[in-house]
Amino acid sequence: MLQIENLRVAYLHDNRRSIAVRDVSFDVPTGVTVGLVGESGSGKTTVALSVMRLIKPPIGDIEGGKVRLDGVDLLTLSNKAMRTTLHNDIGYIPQDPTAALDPLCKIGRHVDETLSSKIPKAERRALIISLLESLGVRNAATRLGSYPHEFSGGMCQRVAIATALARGPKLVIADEPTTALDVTTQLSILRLLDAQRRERGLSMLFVTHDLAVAQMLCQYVVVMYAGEVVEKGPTEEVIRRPRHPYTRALVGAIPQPTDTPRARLRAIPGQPPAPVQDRSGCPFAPRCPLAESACSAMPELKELDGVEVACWNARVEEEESAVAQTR
Amino acid sequence: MARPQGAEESLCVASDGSECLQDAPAEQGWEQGVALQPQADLLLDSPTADAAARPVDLARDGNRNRHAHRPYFSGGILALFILAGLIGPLIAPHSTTHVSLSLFLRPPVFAGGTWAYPLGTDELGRDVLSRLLGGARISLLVGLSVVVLSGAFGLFVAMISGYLGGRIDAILMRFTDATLAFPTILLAIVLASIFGASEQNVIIILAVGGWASYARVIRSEVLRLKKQDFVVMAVVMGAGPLWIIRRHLIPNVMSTLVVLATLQLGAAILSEGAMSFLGIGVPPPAPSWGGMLAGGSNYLTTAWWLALFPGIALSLTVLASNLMGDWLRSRSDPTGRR
Repeated sequence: MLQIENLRVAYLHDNRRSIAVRDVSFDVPTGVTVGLVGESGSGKTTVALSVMRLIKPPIGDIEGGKVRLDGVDLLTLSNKAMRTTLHNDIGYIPQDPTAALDPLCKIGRHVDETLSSKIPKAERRALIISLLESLGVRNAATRLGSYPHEFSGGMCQRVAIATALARGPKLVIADEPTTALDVTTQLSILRLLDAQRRERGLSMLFVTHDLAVAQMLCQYVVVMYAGEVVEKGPTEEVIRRPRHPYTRALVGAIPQPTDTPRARLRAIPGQPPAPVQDRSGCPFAPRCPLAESACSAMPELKELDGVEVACWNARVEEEESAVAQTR
Repeated sequence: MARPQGAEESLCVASDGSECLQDAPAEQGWEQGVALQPQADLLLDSPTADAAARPVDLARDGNRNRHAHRPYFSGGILALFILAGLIGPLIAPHSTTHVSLSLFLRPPVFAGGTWAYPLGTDELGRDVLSRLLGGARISLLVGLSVVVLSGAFGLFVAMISGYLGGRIDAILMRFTDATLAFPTILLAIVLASIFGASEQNVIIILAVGGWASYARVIRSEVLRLKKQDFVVMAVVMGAGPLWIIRRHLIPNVMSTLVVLATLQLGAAILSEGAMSFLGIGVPPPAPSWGGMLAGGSNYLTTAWWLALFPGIALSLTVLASNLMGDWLRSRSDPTGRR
């Protein structure tokens, strides 16, 4: 399993540091999908990239915390050991499937490159074909020699998933893998990922801004705002009965089929705060309908009815009223 | 197409995906005026088209277009040029350097000359055709050597600079800027007067002046490529810098490199001509197109053939190498679109 403890990440511009992730902690248990949700700039992708140690100077810096995969702290590994871990234990599925594949590299070679050259070639080929077929690439045997531009977006994403899964990783990190796809393809990719998780007992860290997707796929969700975890817990609980006003507003912002045509979308007023060095108080307070004087102090994550939430005014509300409130 | 179908379309998208918009049976059914109800059934029952099946045809089309524009012209000229460079001196009718003043300034065969000297003779009585063939060898040698040397060095600098970034990048790029800012011909005059004029020095001088544009352009390509997800994925798969450079970066900058190289091949041949014209290139009596142009320019009004033939040879070779580069570029790009 993956354990993230007090992770703190900063981006560097010139000589300034802007903190993108502040003391984020959560676990991804074995065989479970954890959704990391939040709006753009909330730091969710930064967390995912930090797990793979892809944030490093001059772009950014992991300032502190621990990222443990099966007990081993990835942040203190040597570069060589980290490469071995990445190679063997971690699979990454990026956002844009067409950019995920080298345009000059044939489909088969993408998957083949991740496999050990100790396996005989014919065996690798059979492995790749069966993997691609299981991921819904029909006639995989005849398509190994195709180039990525001959594939549709959904097919490219299947190849990217095959590349991530070929080594049999323990952990899969998916950074909005369905955002660039249309809704029907999105659904089949999500089903595929879920089936693979069950079959292989994968731990999956799934970054998304789409609560509906998170609800479909993830057993747990971690809601991030301005680099901090504001709420985390079982998906059903968090989405059906959000305790944090931000989560409540996010859930409320989902357009409903019952909305009348031309009804205004329920946006959250204001802007997320700029990532700065120092901050006091709850970052959501300026946009929060429930803000009060207590909110000038930073709330700690505390458990409320099975869900951890960082808010002075955290309370369990029923679904309908949550939606109504943000209207 | 009649409007009511819109309803069917949206129904169909919801049920099985985007493919059904092109569903042939449904389209025909509608055009033949079949009632609305059966049609809806058709749409709903139609199997989801295999999204993977279609692109193969696209690929085939791409190939067909690609082969429609084979570079016969530039390929032919370049083949002639290379052939002349390789075996020219062997088939040349006369020596390239033998002076016989009694034969000076004979016109070409179609302007009243004889077949013994098909393209005439120069002011020292040397056969123009033989010298043209000999000059091809020098142009080929200089052009290819310059392209290989400066291309390899430029690629090397670009990979280090672009992939590592940071301070190394800054230092290397300032160095590149300095080289780019320095006029090549001035550099050539300075270096040639220090080290003397020889074929080898011409190659070194042009390579020293030529690597910077490769470094500059390819570095920017590397900067773009290394942010691409496929490179990030390779990193996550545990690939090291050398692997990524070899398997992903170099193949992806190849098309750029080829374009730059063919442009530079032409430019290097021209520069060698310019240097020989200025007397700092390949020293006489060795035949060089630039040197022949320089010598011929004194006789333009009386013996036009001295400058015309090397001029044509030079222009055609440069043009052909540019056209060839363009064709190679479009071919090396698998999408065939760029």
